Amino acid sequence: MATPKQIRDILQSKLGDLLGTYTFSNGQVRPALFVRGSQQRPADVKVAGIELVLDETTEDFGTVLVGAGSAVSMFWKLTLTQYNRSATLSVVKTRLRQVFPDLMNVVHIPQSDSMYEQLTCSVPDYALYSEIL
Amino acid sequence: MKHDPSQAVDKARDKLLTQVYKATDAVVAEMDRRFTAAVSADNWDWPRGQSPRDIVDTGALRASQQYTKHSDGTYRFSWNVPYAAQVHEGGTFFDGSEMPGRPWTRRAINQMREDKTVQRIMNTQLKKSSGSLNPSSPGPLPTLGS
Repeated sequence: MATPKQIRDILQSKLGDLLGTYTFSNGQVRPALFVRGSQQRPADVKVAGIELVLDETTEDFGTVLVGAGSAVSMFWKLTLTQYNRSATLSVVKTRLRQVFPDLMNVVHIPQSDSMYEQLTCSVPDYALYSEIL
Repeated sequence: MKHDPSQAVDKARDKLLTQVYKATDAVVAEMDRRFTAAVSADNWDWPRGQSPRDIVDTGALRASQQYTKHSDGTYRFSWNVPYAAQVHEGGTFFDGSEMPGRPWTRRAINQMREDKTVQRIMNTQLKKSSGSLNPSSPGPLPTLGS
């Protein structure tokens, strides 16, 4: 099974060019990619563009048969939020489909009159998907 | 009188399929009940005010739950209020505050998996057709998970 850092590195390399930025209170700017779990994003961080949050703990959806009979039961939950209200998540959604063909539980929530556009999905543990490395 | 074994097999198969359909209906009815129970349960963490609490404010989300059976044998559950997905998945408000996701469907399905609800219902229903598959040699059907 992969570690959160390994998944984070894959996401950074495959989606990094589409992500927005975090601007910290000291002026430091970082890619808007965050592993949520034991740490929380500081409240005073300013987010611009697309934020990608990876949940530190995996989800267990039971055994799923994939490919030529491999079994995957652990999935990583991703949450993408578009903080630019005049843009959408469509490009990153397409890229996600290309990088993770077995994306599951995709829920797209359009921007509303009070909330940002959001996409949640689950990707299989990459340990069984060496072709994406 | 000539005995046609294929007729007996067809009859047994039809009886088994009937029991499978009945079992599926029973599973779906149980899912319907479990989803409603999950929405109503006072065990959802909430960052503001009372916590834990249920997912009921106006009751519209819970009341909107429905399921439909399709011609291919699949069922589809839906909650027809515009904010259902946001309640289920959570989201971020324009002021930066966050609404945590409360995935009542996943919780209910996980509970059903843990207590082997589907297996239990299917076994109960299939036992009713026990002995009908092979009329010349009646015996119990194998149970799921055994």
